[in-house]
Amino acid sequence: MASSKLIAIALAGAVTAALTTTALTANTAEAAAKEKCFGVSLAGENDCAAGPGTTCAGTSTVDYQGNAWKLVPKGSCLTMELPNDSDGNARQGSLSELERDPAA
Amino acid sequence: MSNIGLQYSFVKSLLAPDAVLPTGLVSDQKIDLQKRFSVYRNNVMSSLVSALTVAFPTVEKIVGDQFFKAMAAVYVRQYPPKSPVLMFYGDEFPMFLRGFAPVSALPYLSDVARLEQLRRQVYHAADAPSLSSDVFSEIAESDLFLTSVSLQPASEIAAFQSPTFSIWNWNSVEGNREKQDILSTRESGLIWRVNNEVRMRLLPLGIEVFLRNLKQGLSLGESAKEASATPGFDLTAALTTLFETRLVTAVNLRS
Repeated sequence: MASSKLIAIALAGAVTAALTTTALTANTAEAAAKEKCFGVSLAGENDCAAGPGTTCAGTSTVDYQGNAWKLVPKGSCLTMELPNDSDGNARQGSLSELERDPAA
Repeated sequence: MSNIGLQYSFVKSLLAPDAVLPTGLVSDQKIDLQKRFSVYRNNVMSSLVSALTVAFPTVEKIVGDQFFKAMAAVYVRQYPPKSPVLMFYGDEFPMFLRGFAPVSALPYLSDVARLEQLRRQVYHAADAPSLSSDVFSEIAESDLFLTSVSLQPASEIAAFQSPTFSIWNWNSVEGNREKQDILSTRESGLIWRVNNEVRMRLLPLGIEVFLRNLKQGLSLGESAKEASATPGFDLTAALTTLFETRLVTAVNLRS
């Protein structure tokens, strides 16, 4: 095992070298094929983060809960068809949290 | 009969393959309780078996659909779900496979199942913003040794005695159907999430040790020192892995 002193010296050089390498490769943009879509998942089938009153994945309590999201193919969130709510109002998915259909 | 007693008996009948009606089940209508109960039991079984099929697609691919369904049914009866959240159902499936005699000729199957379970955990782990690796250039060189980092909750380091990542890759990635030689040796790797997508990469032994130590809260210096005991450990490559994967969510300077 190398001594702490040697490691301390090596770290400084290695961090600089690694940062240079990373800068060259990391900027290749990652095409996100999915987007988070709020208000479209069925009860209990949301992905993570259903907001206050719930903890995480699989914990939304009503269908189309507004603060629960599901990953959907990019570009499909705003256009997918959803059933109307009980008052007959049209539902739409959203890229940000919604207040409709609160957790029961 | 008490409620608890009925529930016990109900669950027992639900998981038993041959039809025994739960004691205390009554109906005020003239329906065939036996038949109705069978339909219900069948639905429960088949939905849990499909949950496992969704969870372990590579295991299914290796053993085939029919075999998988039969095996999953055995598992469901031995390990019924303990939580209503089905997205993690199957926690004990890798352990079950290790002891399941009909697949004893496939010693890697349990590892493949463990990898698939880890992928699910990473997929569902909490979000945390990654820190830009530029912060490391702002840390004084003399402070680097004692700097520790917090890593993404959506990240796991896994070591397998079989070439599990290669087997997974060969079975799961399209366009990967050409048979490459898989060395039958241990493999370890990192499973993490980028833009809501689960990624995996193999880790050389030294880098695995380095990342594990960081995850446990050791400082950069202590982690590097321990990893340097592994032959061939490359500190620059280790840090490049750390930066490229954007694993770091916080930097903590110990004074």
